Amino acid sequence: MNATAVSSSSGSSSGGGGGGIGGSRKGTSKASSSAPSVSGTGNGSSSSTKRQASRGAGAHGNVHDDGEVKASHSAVVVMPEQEHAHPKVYEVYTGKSKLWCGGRCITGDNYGAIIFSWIMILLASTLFFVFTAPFLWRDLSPAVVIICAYLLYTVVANLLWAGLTDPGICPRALREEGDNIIRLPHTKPNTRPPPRQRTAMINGQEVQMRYCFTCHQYRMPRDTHCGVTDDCVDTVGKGLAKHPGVPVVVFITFVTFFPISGLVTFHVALVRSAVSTNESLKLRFDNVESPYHRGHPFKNAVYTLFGPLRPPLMRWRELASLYDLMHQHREPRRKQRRRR
Amino acid sequence: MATQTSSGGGDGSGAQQPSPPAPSAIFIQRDFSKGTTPRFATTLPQQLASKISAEQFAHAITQINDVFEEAEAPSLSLYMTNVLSCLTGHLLQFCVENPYEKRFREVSALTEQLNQQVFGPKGLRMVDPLRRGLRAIEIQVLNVAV
Ligand SMILES: [Zn+2]
Repeated sequence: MNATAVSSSSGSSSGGGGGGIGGSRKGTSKASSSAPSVSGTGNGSSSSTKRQASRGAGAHGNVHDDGEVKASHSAVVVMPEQEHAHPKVYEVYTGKSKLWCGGRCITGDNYGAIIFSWIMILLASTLFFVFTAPFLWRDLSPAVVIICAYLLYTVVANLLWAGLTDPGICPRALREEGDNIIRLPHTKPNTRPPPRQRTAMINGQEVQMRYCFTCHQYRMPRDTHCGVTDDCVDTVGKGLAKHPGVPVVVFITFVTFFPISGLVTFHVALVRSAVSTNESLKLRFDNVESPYHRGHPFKNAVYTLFGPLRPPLMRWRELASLYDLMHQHREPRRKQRRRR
Repeated sequence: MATQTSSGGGDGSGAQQPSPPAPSAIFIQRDFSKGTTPRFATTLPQQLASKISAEQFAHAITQINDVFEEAEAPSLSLYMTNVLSCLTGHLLQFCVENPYEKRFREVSALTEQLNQQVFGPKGLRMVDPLRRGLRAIEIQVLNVAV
């Protein structure tokens, strides 16, 4: 495997550099920490077949200054890295989310807001349990304190759950699959074809599906391309929970009572009418009934809150080769546009 | 792809070699007519008309669709489990497996079975829809003599 990558990268220095970075961003940091001298080889995850290297070059194009160095390194040191022989999905992931604990946890890349909200929640609750709780326990009832402790536990658990689990990322498709679907392969190199739409009929109602050029697929109805994760994300799940502003909102609702009632009323109304937060903010179904309606407001609410939960479609801890993710790469849009 | 590479990489064109002939693939798209439950179109694509009969194809895809419909059907026991999970702060998720995962395995097994009984003998191979993020079922046309 590595041999093919080497031969192609020595043939073209820019291709080798681009292919490596396109192959896996994680690989770069990993390789540099474990074996700095062979950062070039580690990049390819040993999966970099010639095809991938050329893909990466096509997407990146911009010649890296150290491309030459990397190429020469990889030409000299061919290291069979056992751990990279069969990379897992999270190791070749090219979106913006950060994976932790071997793909078990996932976060956004904005830590400031998360840390801030955690500090605030822990500070507020510590103050409460140190200074207020003893008096409540003694003078009012121990039950009050116990209920408060349970509420704190659910807030912390839910925040952990929302912040560390998959927001409903839709795996990216290969370019071939996308081209197969839109039927019109690129005629001019390095230009983005015009946006394409497809109309889906959902329960007799027209819903537009836009083509996503990053993920090479028509965004499913109720999906949106999320700027935080740089992946198409299911908005019905908890796509919004990954937004960096959300922990702050959670914090505000935690310490002040007034917004709770407002937000809760808003979301109850949404859940009752089977509209996701995202759709509501975009006024998607303002005048017509949502096509996802299940007949009765109560049914909608129960189904949304406690109904079947589709497991994450990104099978982070499984082998990347199973999902044909070995060749996927990141297509930096802005760079591509500038180069044109 | 080739044109893009040569123009993007600049000097990269020297490393180009013809890639091995990959099996061509047809992607069966999702059918959203009944909502966002994973369902795949049961109409036979033109490219496969010479390989497999429309009824056989529709029957195979319907079998897959049925599993997903079952997976997304509400049930009282599921509601109870999810309410309990919510009350325990999602701790229950570590003890009880999401029944949807079982359906995923069912679909994988069904794909395997359909490949052996229906698609394989006709020189086709169906890819587990989960491998394509449930956005399409890929039917590969294998380059082997039937
Ligand atoms: Zn996308």
